Amino acid sequence: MAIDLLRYLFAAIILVLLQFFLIQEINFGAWLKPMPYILFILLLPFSYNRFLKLLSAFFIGLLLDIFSNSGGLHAAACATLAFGRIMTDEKLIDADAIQLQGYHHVTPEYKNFTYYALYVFSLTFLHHWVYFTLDYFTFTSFFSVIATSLLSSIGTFLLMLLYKIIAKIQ
Amino acid sequence: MVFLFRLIRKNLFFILYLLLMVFSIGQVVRFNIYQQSYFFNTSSAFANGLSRAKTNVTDYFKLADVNQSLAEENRKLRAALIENQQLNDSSSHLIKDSLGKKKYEYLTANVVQLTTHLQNNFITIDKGSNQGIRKDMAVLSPSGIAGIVIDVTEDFSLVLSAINSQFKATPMIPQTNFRDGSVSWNGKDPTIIQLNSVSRFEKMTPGMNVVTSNYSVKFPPGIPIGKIERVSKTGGSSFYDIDIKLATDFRKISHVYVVNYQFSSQIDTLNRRSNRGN
Repeated sequence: MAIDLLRYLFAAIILVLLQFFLIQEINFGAWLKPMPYILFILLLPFSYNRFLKLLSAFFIGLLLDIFSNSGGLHAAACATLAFGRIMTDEKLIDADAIQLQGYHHVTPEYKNFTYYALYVFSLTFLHHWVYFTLDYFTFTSFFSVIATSLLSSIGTFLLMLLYKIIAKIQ
Repeated sequence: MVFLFRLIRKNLFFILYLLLMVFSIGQVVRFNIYQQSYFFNTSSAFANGLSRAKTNVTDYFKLADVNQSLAEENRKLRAALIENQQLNDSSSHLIKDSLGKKKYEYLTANVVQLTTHLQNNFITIDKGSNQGIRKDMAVLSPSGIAGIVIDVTEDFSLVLSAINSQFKATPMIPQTNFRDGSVSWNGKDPTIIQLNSVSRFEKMTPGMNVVTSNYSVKFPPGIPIGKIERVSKTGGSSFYDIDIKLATDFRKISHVYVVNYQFSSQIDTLNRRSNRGN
């Protein structure tokens, strides 16, 4: 378990560095701001302590915040994502059944791709919605926030799939 | 009391989540309402290691553009030198010499980190209090305004970029001697800034130059803000919607000038005195 934890930490740092050096530099347009570094939060195993998952997500977000001068944006969004994922795992989906089948996190192989996509996309949307709400920080731009959250979630989802294919995780 | 402890024990996870959110959202609120800088920002040396590495690489790609903007700036400055101007009539002319006290002193600095994709963008520069930088100093790029210093450590400073929702500047249009309105960013396009509160009776045409006015003590007067790109009306408002194409390309700046206004302490004293009187 300790070795795996280090591997996850390493993966998290790599993803944050990729985000900072590569993804944030590419101009996808004003409405599309993908953030595929959240992949690591979605890959954390069910069996890990929930406090550990929440705190590690928060600190990864805070790290990215410090480098990109965005205050608490990423930290708050990642904490919300981790909280949402943990609540979903415990209350909404049958995490035990998935674990019995031998998977550590929700994968496309478990039920079908739609189930996986719904899970990942809704959590990604939650993260992006919190992020852009704090970024825009006004009540009048509700539709801008929703629009950019939606588009960025799609971008993030596709980039995460790309990451998974490149890193050969399933 | 015991009930409270039991309640906390039961919901410790949720409470931890709330504490984390309070901390991070608190930072964002503090910035948006009081314009204070974030607790953790890139003016600390730690965060700069990584940012420096990134800018070392990206600066290399910007070299051609930076050279071009420097050459253009040199050209403009040379043209303004008195020696290069032909005097039209020789009866009397004003010679500007250096008898007066220097009003503005310029310090050069390099950009260590900058963002353009957020609603609130900042620039980090590699000069700090050891080099004489203080809060509220104006920051200019070779082509125009860049921002205001809001936080200073020994060797680095955090600059509130012009493309930041909290940035405000006072404009002037020399063509029509217009000195109203205010300039701020609406967060949509990092190359376009908005000119607000301009009544529809004013003459505004695309292509007009907008510069800083002499009503601001932070920015020296006459610094380019940009060129008016689009003037439009939304029905029901008595103001124009004016878009200004920024003179500074924030994606390409790599060195800036920080303006030290020599009399800023006197202005601050006057402001403080007038506030106390109210």
